[in-house]
Amino acid sequence: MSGSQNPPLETESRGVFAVVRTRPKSLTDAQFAYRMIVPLLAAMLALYVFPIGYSFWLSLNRINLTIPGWHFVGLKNYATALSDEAVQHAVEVTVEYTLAVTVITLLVSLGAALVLNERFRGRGLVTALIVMPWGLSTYMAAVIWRHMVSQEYGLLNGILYSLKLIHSYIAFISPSSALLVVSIAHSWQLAPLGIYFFLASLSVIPSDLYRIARLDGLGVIGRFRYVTWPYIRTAVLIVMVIVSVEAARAFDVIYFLTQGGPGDATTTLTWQIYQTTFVAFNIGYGAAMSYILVVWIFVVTTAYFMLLYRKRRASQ
Amino acid sequence: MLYDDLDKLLTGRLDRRTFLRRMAVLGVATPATLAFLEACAGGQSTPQGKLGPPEGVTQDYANAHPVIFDVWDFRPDIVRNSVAEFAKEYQENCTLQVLPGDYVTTELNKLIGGSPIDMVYSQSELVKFFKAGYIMSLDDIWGKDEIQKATLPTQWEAQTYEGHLLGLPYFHSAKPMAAVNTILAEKVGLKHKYPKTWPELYQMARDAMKTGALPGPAYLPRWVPTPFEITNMWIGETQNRGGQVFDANFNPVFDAASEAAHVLEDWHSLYVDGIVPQSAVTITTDELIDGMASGRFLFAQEELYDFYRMNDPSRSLIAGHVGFAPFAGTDWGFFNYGLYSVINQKDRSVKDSDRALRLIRFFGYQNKDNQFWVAKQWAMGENLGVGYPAVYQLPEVQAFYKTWQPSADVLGFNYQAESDVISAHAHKLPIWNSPWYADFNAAAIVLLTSAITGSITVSKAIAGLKQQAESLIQTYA
Repeated sequence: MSGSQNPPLETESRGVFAVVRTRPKSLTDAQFAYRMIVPLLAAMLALYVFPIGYSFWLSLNRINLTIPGWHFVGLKNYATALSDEAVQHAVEVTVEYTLAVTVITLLVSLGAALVLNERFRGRGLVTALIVMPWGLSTYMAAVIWRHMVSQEYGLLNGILYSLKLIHSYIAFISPSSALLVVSIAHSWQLAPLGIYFFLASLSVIPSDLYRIARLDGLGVIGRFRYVTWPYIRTAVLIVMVIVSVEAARAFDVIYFLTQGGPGDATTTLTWQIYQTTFVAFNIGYGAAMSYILVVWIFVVTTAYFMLLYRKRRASQ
Repeated sequence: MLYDDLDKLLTGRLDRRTFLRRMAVLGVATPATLAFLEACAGGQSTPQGKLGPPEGVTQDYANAHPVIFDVWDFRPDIVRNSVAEFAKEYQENCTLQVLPGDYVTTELNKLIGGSPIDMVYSQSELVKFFKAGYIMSLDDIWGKDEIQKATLPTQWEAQTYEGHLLGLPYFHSAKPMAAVNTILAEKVGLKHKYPKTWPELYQMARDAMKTGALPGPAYLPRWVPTPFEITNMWIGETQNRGGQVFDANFNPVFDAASEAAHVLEDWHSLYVDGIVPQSAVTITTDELIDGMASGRFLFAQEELYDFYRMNDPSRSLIAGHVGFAPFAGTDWGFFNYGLYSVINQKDRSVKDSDRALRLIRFFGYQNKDNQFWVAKQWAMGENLGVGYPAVYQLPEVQAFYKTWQPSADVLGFNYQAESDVISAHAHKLPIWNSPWYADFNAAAIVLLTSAITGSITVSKAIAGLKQQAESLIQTYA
């Protein structure tokens, strides 16, 4: 045999896969991971780059669909949006709404997961039924809640009135309470997501740890703090990120429950963008507001992940 | 060739559009136009009856090129039946698309995206869309003079703009009407006693609540926070009370001392005093109708055609007992209308444009047998006004009215006669002709509802509304 020879074959077992290499292993884990996501990145670039770029271009122009002609205005739309009282109010409402939905969802889902982690009769059935709100469209969830909280015909008012707990129907959707009601409706729909995340984390906690904690004299809160919390805190951060992003960009539940009202009590930035872009047809200004929302969501999620990775590095 | 075609044009064997296109191709458009105008000036007008229905449309062609009709989600069953009848009569093919949710927004997105649409519903956004080039004028529709003669004058005024016919009637109505629950009215000593103005109604509502005989708030207003509702109610009520919001050139002429501000002050005090339910600022139109039909309110602001639903035993707990305050010198409602309009598709052939015109004639006027086929479906299906007085005289429509209208004993007047008077006094809100009204409406909804609930003062709301209008006038100038 003359000339160069092919390098010897190497077979390496990775779990259930056997990877056959024709040359010595030269990829690090990180390099391998990056190569795995390249096809996904390529698809995302193709699907997202043009819309993102085009919408940014729109935000630099004054465009109204019923007035001919575009006018390049640079960053003027952004400057106007940042100084617009209506936009400032919408940002405040968005922050309040996001906080409310995140906190309520976390509390409800964590509480439910802790209960479902205990053994009781019918646990399987209840765990399966929990998914129902998540399985509904946001439209359906909003319609259901509207029929529950309506002052005119709502189920809640009907129950409270027939139990003689109230003597006149309550306006649950009032200027002072509308945001909370919408937050509760949205949290009701998002909670199953958190429940399943937490259940997965809780299921891997060795039961011996709880026994030892009891022997050490730790009560319920102590056991939660020293046994449960270390296992679920990563899941909590992930759920917070997902729920916060969902809340920040909520539209359907507001559209079908309150239409941004009463007044502007539930006018979030997303609702403001919708009104500006699709009702007033002020495309350029609406696009600028959309980018402000994108930046805000990016900042929040980056903060979350920095916190997550810092904790992970600290624990390693 | 010019004069051959001119001869065909004048004898109705060629439509105007085709004539001018041919002349443009020949490069003689201007002389052709001059020749045509000269012929018209000489007393020879284009025969209307002959400009017409599309020719050469076979079933195969129709199946391959359906005319597309986008509708909102209201009684799609009636629309589907009408589409089926159209297809049967003309061996045509019409694709019906029901757009749920925000119809105008969805329609606009489809138009921007280049979706092929031939016919749509239109309302207050009509002029804006026409100026933007989306709506096609119907000036070339055959039988236009005959259609005008058959149409209610107020309806014709509503569907024309600067001399262009932009649509044909889908429905018309008057709103807001002062609806009265005659059962509760009798209970509080108001049998056959009706308010003559909105301020009088508000005072009657306050007095009624003092009797303690009412189950809750006395009045259910039409403060629905959507583009077709609360802003129109504010402008309409201001006009009803002798004030003005916009002048003939659409300039805002209101301020903190004007009737427009007094209307808002009254609304705010009704809200804080509990004369209206707190849910009034987030109510939907369905809840408005069901609310009145529940029998819990003495007064409500309703639309004229909805009195049918409020007096329908299958839907109302007080069927036969919902009337309205009759005309007593001041108008109650403005003329509300919906039209069928044809979309201006640039690459649509003349043949297909004529098919769209035939579709709009079928829906908005008469069928092949010269009957108001679709109008009758709406009049008897949902008590809609339909723009053609002849429809209301049809025996079957008259018989339908008698099945649900409250009696003269209950109301103290003849329902149908008073309904006709109310309709005759209703006029379109002129501001709907401004190109920026949709933009104004979006901001006005927030300002008006915020002023009602007290989140902002009335004077701040009025200042905001005026500033919004002035800013839009500048933008669109």
